[in-house]
Amino acid sequence: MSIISVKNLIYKYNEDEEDEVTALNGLSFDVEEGEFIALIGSNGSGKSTLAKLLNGLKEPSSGTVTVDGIDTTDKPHIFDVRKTVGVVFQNPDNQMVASIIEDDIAFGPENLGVPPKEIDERVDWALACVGMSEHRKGTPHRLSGGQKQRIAIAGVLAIKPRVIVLDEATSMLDPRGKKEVMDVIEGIRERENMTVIMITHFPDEAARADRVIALDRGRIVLDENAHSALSDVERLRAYGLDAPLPARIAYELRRRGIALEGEIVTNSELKEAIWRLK
Amino acid sequence: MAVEIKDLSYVYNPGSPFETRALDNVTLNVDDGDFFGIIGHTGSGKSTLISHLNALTRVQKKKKLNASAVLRVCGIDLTAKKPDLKSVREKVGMVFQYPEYQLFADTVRQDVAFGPKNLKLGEEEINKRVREALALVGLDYAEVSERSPFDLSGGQKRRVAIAGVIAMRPELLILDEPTAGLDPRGKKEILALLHSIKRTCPTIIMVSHNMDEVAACCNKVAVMSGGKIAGVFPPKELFARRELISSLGLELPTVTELAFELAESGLDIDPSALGEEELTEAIAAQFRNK
Repeated sequence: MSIISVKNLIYKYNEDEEDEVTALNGLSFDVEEGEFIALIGSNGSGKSTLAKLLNGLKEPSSGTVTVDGIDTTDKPHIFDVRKTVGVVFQNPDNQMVASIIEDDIAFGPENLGVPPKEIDERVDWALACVGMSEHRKGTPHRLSGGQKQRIAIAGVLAIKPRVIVLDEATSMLDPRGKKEVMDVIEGIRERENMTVIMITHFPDEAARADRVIALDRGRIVLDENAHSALSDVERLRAYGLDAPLPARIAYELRRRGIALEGEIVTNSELKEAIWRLK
Repeated sequence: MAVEIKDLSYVYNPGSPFETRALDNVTLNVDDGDFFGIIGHTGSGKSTLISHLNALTRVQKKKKLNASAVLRVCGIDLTAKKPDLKSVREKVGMVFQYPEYQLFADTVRQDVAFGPKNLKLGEEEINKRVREALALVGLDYAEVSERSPFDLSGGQKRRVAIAGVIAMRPELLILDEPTAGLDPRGKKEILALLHSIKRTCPTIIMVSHNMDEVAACCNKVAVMSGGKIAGVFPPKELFARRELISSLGLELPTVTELAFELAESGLDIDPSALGEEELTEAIAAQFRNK
């Protein structure tokens, strides 16, 4: 069974009113346990709306979202849905609930009624996962953006979700903070076999994923292996998306008659393709 | 000279256990007409420095601190006991990080008019400036002026916020991370509008973490580290110094990084290539010369 299954999902803002807007228009896809998916699309494509539907923060106008076999509109089981899918949002400052870091991390499991001794263990584990153990007794206010976002991720990890959704979780961070957060995510994936759905504007971040789903005006326009999707400059451009720099340069070189071979997404792939021709 | 700074220091929480020297004897000049970049990792003092430039942060005078400091912005001496704050705020336009968080009025027109109104301009002049400013940031007056700024997209909101500053017709425009948080399309739009703004407001200072943008826009770049200026360089010269950049915890523009890697692998390419087009040409030339 897929961990998440989305079928014919439609979501409308202001449904049945004058200013009705269809944000998601008939999406279907399955997410298997352990997958790393990048969800890309320009502003207004429906990415963030989809994030909120994946753990029942919003309910479909029609169609279904099923998480580990549970329909997200199944009110009595909504906690099971939220336990399975955790979401990290864009702004680190909006996600802190307590003035001491360990209390902030404990907030999720406390609400789920986890016994105190286990909460304690989960806080230890979650802080270790994001490399912030020494800050356990500290306060979030003196941390950098990247550190705050790692605390937000730890807060979600403490719920022990099987899927973590990152909704542009690095977009407000400086390059060092971005890297810290991406490294933490990759570490968690390797050690915990967690399923990751990463919403991002940045093609080079998407290149870290296994699979890319691209949205354009509420529809899925691409759903395939990340590497082949990101090497296809023309198709990405058609949906208002950028390819990574090496892919763009390879595209321009080919247009000038230099027949580079293979799918090119990274610096080293471009380098190798050039040397094969020389 | 738009900005003249000499031996400027600033200490946060002086005399407490959290005492931090945010600026340490900074000396820096920005000429009229510069598109001046300031880079440096988080905590290097960039924001403290620019908040001095429109006197939001006042020059600290304690014991020997700043005894010989100079801070002159658009001809106004900000080390004076009572500097002319009103004219500083008129001449120096400041666009903070995420300026759309500061939108407040019911309509776009009212929001952009707020600055000029405070300058006590006449109704007609205010309207003229609002139209001008919205045109400069690429928004259609007829379409947006009576809408609530909160109904616009993220990129549009940011442009309204910038228009509000432009409408004051500043002599010097300072932007703190003007493209942070926008998607690639929004980033490109903001950068393009900075180039058109430069025609009316010739001196721009931009703080940025995005080296691609700094390389593409600026004619000079100051590098900050630990509250000091580590150097001021033309971008091409700066990004040719890969060791300096990485020793300061910064990154190269993605194009320069790729050029370096290609050059290291033995291709005859100038690693300080900054533009995508320039690098593509350099690679293509390798094949033609064969």
